[in-house]
Amino acid sequence: MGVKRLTRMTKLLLIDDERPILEVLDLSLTSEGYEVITAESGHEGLKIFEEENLKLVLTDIKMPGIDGIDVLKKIKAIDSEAEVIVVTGHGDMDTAIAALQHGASDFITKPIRDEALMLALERAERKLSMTKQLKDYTENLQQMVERCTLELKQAQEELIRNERLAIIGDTVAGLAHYIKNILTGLRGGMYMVNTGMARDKSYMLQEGWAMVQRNVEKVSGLVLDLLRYSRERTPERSVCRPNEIVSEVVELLKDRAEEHHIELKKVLDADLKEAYLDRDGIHRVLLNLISNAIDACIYDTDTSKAWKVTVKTMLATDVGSGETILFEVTDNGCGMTDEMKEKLFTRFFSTKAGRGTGLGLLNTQKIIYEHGGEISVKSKVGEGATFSVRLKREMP
Amino acid sequence: MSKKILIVDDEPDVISFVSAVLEENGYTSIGAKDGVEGLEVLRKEKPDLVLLDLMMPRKSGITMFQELRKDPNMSNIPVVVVTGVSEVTGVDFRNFMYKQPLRDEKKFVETTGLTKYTVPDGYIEKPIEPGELIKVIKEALKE
Repeated sequence: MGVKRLTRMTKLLLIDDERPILEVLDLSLTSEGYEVITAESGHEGLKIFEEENLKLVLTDIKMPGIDGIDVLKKIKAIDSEAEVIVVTGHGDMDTAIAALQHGASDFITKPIRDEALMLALERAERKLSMTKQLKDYTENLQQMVERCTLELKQAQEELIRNERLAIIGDTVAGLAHYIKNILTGLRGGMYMVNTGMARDKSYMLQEGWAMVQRNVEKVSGLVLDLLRYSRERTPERSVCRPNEIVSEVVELLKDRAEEHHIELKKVLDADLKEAYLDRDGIHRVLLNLISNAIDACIYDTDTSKAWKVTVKTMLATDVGSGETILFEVTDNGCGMTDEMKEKLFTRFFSTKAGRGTGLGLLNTQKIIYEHGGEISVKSKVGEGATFSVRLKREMP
Repeated sequence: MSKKILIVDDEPDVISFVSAVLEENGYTSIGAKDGVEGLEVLRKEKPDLVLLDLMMPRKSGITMFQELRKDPNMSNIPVVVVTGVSEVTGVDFRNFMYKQPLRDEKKFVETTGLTKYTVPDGYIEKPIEPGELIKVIKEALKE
């Protein structure tokens, strides 16, 4: 024998209708270390196969009753992983091929040579062990996937929790700074009022009082903004002229822009006449976007730039959706990082070191959504930003 | 003649408040709203001391401080930093400025263009306490 086996007991089912062949093979395979179970017919073989939970089968093809091919088919139907080696007559290639097509792992021809038989068995056994390993891996993999999925889910839940905490943290911190700045202003004002009265300096009294008023104004503004943000409302639409609103807001912010050497320009579409919008809401939207654009220029450290804020209106006729009003506010100020852009509309977020509440864009977005419109932003650090608002014209 | 103090802060309320405090204590004052304007006024008015906010648009207080110290005409003017930066950023800035002169001086010189490690002559945190402000100013002016 060419191949030496360990005395590991592998069970093997041997099916042949010729008793002498069965006996010889039994003897020979047992001596090779197999635990051989014999069957004299296909029928008997199948019965044993089912009872004994076997993996390795050697069967003759030509048998009365259920022949080898049928045995093969039925075994494969019961356990597709079982290895079946068929024994064909010499030169009976057609049968051999049919057997292989039905899932036989190998075939050997009569007269059976020990060496060929042992090689076939070796191969079958190797295949069996590989299949088993593969199955173990697959099961393992499944467990690993399940474990990873669970861990991922836990991590995700934690992330969401942390995210929420971060949002609350940002909100509280942002508002606290803003309120503290107001308080500083109020204290300063009080100091000046007190000193002005004590020293009888009326200019100091006046200035201090103006400071108190300004800061009280800021607090009421903040409270209004918070209320606006927390309250659901439908826009109070009326027929108005969008270009007119732009002009109003530009007029309001003109001085601030000029003070910081920023050119504030409007490009209005003359075709855009009337629209059905919440006039106050859109006024607030534009006030927010344009003052943000001015701030982006004020906060820009590149002093070589000629800062410019452009407000554009456009009436576009989209196929299908009808007439759309487009407001566009562009600045060439400090610009935003991707991280900032992400936070922009999702939380109370201010880059103005305590000078902003972080509510401006949230409220802007809210008003636009309530109109059924859209807002988007494009920006590059150091190059500026463009905020675009799209609203349906929707005349009553 | 009373001493002249330059207040550099982007918050107009702070300038008004601080100038009132200064006036009460016998100083005169001028204001500037950022580092760029601060340097302009500094060159023109030659104040006796600078009160400097750190976080400002256009030119930060730190940049302005370094430029001031680089200019031989102004480098001896005392500077008192008045800032809320520690509260906003959560970084103990006083510690950062004063307890770290052990930082690599060569690197400092390279990055700032200054000839040696230099720190402001005084430092106070916002919110501003009038008493503390005057005390720090007097120390910086060696009064």
